[in-house]
Amino acid sequence: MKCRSGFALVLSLVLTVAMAVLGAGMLVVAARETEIAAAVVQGRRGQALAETAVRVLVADWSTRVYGPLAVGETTAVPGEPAAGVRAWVTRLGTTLFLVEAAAGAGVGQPAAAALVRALDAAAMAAAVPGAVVADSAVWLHAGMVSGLGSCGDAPDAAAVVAPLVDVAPGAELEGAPAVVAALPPDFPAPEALTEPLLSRLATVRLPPGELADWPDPGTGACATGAGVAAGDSTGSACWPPPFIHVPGDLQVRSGEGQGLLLVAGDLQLLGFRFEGLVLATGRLALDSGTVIVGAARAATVEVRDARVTFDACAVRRAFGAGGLDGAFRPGHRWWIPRF
Amino acid sequence: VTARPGAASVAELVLVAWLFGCVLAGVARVVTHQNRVAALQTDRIRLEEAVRTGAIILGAEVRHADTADLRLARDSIRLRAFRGGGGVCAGDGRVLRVLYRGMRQPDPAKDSVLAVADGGVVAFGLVSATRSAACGGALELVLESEPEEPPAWVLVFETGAYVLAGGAIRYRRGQGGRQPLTEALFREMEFAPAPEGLRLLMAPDPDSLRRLPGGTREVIAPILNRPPLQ
Repeated sequence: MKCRSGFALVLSLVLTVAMAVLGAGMLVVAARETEIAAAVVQGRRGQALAETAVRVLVADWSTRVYGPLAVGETTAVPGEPAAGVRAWVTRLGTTLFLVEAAAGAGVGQPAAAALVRALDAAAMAAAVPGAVVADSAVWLHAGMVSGLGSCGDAPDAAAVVAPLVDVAPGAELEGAPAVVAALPPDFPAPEALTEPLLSRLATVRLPPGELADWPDPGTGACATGAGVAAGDSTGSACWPPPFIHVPGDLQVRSGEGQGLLLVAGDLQLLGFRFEGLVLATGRLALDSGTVIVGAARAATVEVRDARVTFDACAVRRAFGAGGLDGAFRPGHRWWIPRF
Repeated sequence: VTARPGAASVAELVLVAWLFGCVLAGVARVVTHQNRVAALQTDRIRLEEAVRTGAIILGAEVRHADTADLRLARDSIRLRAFRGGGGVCAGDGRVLRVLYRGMRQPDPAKDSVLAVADGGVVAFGLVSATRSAACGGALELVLESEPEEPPAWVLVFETGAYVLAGGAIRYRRGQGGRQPLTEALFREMEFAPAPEGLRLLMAPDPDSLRRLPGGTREVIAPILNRPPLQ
């Protein structure tokens, strides 16, 4: 056999290898870009999951669950607010909480944190230090006001707290003490708790005007006997109690109600029985055998023929009414960075 | 003329030369095309990297910003750039012991502190930041003045600005120089408010990226606290 020398095979092999190297280089670069893009997408997805978990937790917030936390205490949220996400809540202050969530475990995982505010029922109740509280004056023409209504760790209160108190001879007062002639403390409410928000959080919205009879607020579905403090014996009360909001003046002529009644204006009650807290931004007039078990606070209060008996638990329970049990976004900064 | 046995004829030589030329021409075309594709890919990667860098950095910086943290202009954003934070485990007046976590250690020369308390959020200057033995190795931050209300959480930030200049996104801390964060690949760049937060428009420079066709790139950086940008 003859030996035939040539270089076509060698040349084609060299060219093939060169092409393969060039192609492989491009493939490596492309694959790396794909990996980077995938990592970015995964990070964004984790971030979205963590933020979703925070939003879910805030939406499902209940002060009955997180209210008992001590300041500085942290609790893990049971279950997973979003798939594969852990969440926990830290109480930073009286009304301030930090909600955190992380997608996955370990440092460097996508995470989110938000500051939320929640009503502290006990702190709010401290802003109602008597059976009848007024920012300017109380006139007690007849009837009875009692501040003796301790409940659990909440002691008896004053009968009347206002800068100016005028008591007629026929009226009865009892309390610890009977009268405190001073400006009552402000409500330690979040600044975001504005009138429009309150209106939205209310479970019952009544139009301003006159009511011949108190409407059934539709509380049949609420649980009864759910007290908020040791010693709360109001077994007929329901939880959460209704939060009734009226965006103007109201007159009620008969009926029975419970919960938190907030009137943005003047309120006149005649022959009405209410268990909880009555708040009016204007003048409050109690007449014709009206009975309030809990407390009443307004700019000015006039008691003609009524009975107001302080009940610390009813007041505290009222601040858990309706949407007040939820979490509120602080006035400005809500989301904070987490490292 | 008698041909030597085994020798190629002229016709054979011409045919081989022609075939060889065809192969070489093909190889040359492939190599040229490969070069063009590689250059295109390089340009695309450079551009995507610049866009991605802008999106990631700006997105992270403005995501938790609030109204008081941001000043938006067409070619710059001045902001509080958060660098770390943590819970206050102990405090005494101006001295706060913080369980700190962050992207770097606080630097009193350039950092300030946002103190979060029940009453709200207040900014303070930072005097010093040192390690302490308290709370299992907390960072001891000394503030310029005493907070009215003991803070429960602190956020450490530096004031900086992201500037669109010279075809690149640049970061400038305080009154310092402009450090480029991306390659200078853009002819025009612009910040603009968007419903979700912030919009960054970047038009590639055809001189820098000659091989890459394409229009203006848009990056949306959501702002969770939704400040009303003007």
